[in-house]
Amino acid sequence: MAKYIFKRLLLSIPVLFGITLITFAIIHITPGGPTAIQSNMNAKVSADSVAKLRALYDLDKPVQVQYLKWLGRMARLDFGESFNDNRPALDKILEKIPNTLLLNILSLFLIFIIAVPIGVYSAVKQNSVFDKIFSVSTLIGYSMPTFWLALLLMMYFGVYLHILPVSGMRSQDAGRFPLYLQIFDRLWHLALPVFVSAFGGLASISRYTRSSMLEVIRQDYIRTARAKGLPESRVIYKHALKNALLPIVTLLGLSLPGLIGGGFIFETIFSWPGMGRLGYEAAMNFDYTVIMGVVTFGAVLTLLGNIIADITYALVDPRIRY
Amino acid sequence: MREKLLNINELAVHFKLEEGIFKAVDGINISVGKKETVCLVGESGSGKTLTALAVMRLIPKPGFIAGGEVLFLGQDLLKVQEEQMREIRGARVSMVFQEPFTCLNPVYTVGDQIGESVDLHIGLKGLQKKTRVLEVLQLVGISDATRVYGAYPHELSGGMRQRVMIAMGIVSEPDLLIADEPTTALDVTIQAQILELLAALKEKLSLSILLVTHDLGIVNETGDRVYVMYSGRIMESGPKKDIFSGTKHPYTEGLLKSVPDLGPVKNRLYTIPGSIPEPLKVPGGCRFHPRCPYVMDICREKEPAETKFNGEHSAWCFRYGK
Amino acid sequence: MRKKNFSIGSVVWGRLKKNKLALLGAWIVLLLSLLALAAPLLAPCSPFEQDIGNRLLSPSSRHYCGTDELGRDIFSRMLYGARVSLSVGFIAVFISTIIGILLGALAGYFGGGVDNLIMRFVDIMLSIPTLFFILMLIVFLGPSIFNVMLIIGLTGWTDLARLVRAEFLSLKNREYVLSARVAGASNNRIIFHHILRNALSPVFVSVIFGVGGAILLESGLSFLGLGVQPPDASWGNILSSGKDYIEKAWWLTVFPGLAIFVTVMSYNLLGEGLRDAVDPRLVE
Repeated sequence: MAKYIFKRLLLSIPVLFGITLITFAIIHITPGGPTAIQSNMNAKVSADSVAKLRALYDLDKPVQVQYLKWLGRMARLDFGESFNDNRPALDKILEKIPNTLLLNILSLFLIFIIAVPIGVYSAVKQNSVFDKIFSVSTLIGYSMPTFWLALLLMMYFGVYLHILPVSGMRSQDAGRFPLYLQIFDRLWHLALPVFVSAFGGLASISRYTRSSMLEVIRQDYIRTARAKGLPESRVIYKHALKNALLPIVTLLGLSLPGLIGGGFIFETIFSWPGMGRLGYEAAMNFDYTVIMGVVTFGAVLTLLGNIIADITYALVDPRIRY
Repeated sequence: MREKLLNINELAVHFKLEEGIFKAVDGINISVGKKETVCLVGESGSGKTLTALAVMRLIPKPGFIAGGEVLFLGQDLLKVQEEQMREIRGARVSMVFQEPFTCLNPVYTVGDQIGESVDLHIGLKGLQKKTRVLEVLQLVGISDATRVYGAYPHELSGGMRQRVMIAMGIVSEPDLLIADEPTTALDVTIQAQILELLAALKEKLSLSILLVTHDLGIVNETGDRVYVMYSGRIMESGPKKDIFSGTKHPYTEGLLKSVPDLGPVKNRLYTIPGSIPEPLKVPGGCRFHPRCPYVMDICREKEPAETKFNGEHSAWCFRYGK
Repeated sequence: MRKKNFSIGSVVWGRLKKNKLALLGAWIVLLLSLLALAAPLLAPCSPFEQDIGNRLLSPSSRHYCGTDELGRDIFSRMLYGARVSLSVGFIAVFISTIIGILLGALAGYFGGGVDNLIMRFVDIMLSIPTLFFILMLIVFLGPSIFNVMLIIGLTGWTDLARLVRAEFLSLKNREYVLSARVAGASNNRIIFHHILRNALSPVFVSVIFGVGGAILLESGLSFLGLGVQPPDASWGNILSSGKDYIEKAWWLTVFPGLAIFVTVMSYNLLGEGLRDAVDPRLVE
């Protein structure tokens, strides 16, 4: 197993390189280099920050030297200092990551405990009324602009009913609450953001589960299980389910980029102090160092998610040898 | 006449397709006596596998059993409750399929999958269950039964998997074993071993075997009686020696001629011209007439009735009567 | 060959005609395109004309969808917004389709090193969360309709490339391709004439889904202020003021959101109908 993990990690190194190459290329995407864009777009930009950028990206040196230096800094996760408050970008990101993870892990959890059973059930009852309702509602699910859904829910629960908070992650005076109330307060603030960020995933994961299940039900070994005389429930929930769930394990990892990326909309809407909102604010202020840091971190988290998914898959599928 | 274990009377299996009803099995009669090996022979698409599946009541959708009876020890399997059927399926009548590669569940061990039948039909648990599984693995000629017990299907060779499938089929000592092309997917040497195994088990367990195959070589080695099926109908039936040396039906003749070392023509391999009719394009009159070298006018107009020869030998062809 | 394509087309159309939801989607798509084209004729007011005296009016017979914080007519702005959304959708998908087909075809047809290089590139693209990637590009290129089209197009081709690659892998060893090669057809001709033509239906399905996706993405970006910039109207940036006035003016949120939702859903309905019609195996 250790060997498999090692091999899998080794495989992700070229991808990491690729990411640094792409981010580096983007900095140089327009003629004149990054300093030119900044002064074009932001009149307030000072000679000071142009100089900062120049020094940060070693813009006076040849391109290959720039890239090597860039690579070296990436390896140390040194993105430079924020243009806004001169704090290291890394620190700013690290303090937001727990909030982002909390939101994403809860949504993933919600997605899987709801989507998988629904998908399985609607595959088993293919073409039933439930299945029809299922396919219409998942269609609605992934046609729905989630930021609109967020606004509608804020309007209904926050403004109209006044029962859920519309922004932030804790009440103003929560610090004075006893612990259990603090936890409750946090969950209360999490309700809308978690639901909204899980919403898109619900539709796609449950559809995926359904088609995976339908595929498995057609397999020869399911016929074998029936030929044994097993009751249909055992055929479905023992023989089919385990096979159908295997590919879904990888989806755990694959849905991460969507969630993390989506976070940048939901965190902004709900003023949730996570990485996405940090990235958004940095973008609004042309705070390059922080943006590059957030993008790189997003990619690294995604990569990690994929690795974890692959390893879990190897653990649960006996066919994978390691 | 020997005492009959299985009597299939006027069985019809239809498929509801977009363009109409396809009569895949169109009113056939087959019987299997106690301790008898009966071969059902035909090209792929002739409906022989569906006939076998109909006995198990495992016809895949959109197919359905449109009529007839399947009398097993006098009881019509088509009329019993599904629950009762499950007690017969895999216990009294079991089935071995063509593809040992896809017919075993990839995520459960061999011991687990055979043990499931032991638990279900014999009611043994724990150590007793394991002992019985090991016993039956040895019975099908697996010498390292303990290793195979804990193995996953992908760790075994094709011949080994087919032995496992057979073990699963006989573990509850059924009266009838239906083997659907049990050797088609295997190497020639392994084929012979599996056929020998079936013959040995038949003696040891007093089994009746319904062997579905396209290969007359196999019939020659194992069968007692033969049914030749074409496009959903029986063309000729009778004891093996009558079929092979007193061939009546042109279709049987064609099949025999196309087997390298069985047919009367030795120097050039024969193929029956044309191909089996497509669903919904079954010709009127005798279904074989477009491919028949002896076709007469009447063959295009009417379906032939049964002509009986000595003993149990029958053919459905106008060359011998109405 | 021509005759065969024709008959596949008519079979697909025959199946699609029976799918009521897909037809509904097709009609809405058509209707929306007409509305967008005819926006100047249909809009009751100018989309830019401000009227501070009539700001934040609720829907009425004069302003069907109410007015915004600057007193502009929402209905008119939405009509013009439809032009933006649809053109962003089409042009972005056009860009990503070209890239996706080209890279997918190269990878699938030539295999080996080319395939490896392209697929690793796809892996890299997939490991950067799309929205972050887009955010970064927009910051460096600046927010504008044109850049949004370009950026959505440049980031949205990975799925299509994979799809085209898979089609090529399965089609390139078919007999008709081999015989074309034996007959001395050039790689170009084999790729575009012999293989691509037979891979077009899944590509077309993916394009339809792609338009819906691109519209969704554009509206999200405009909502965040990173897409279409005011005073130009887009469904996303109307929603953006909806958020600011969420307590006072529900119509600023409800109508443009509904427009996005209905549009994306009709593209998805049409796409699903087409997919099922092209490959009925998946429906049963």
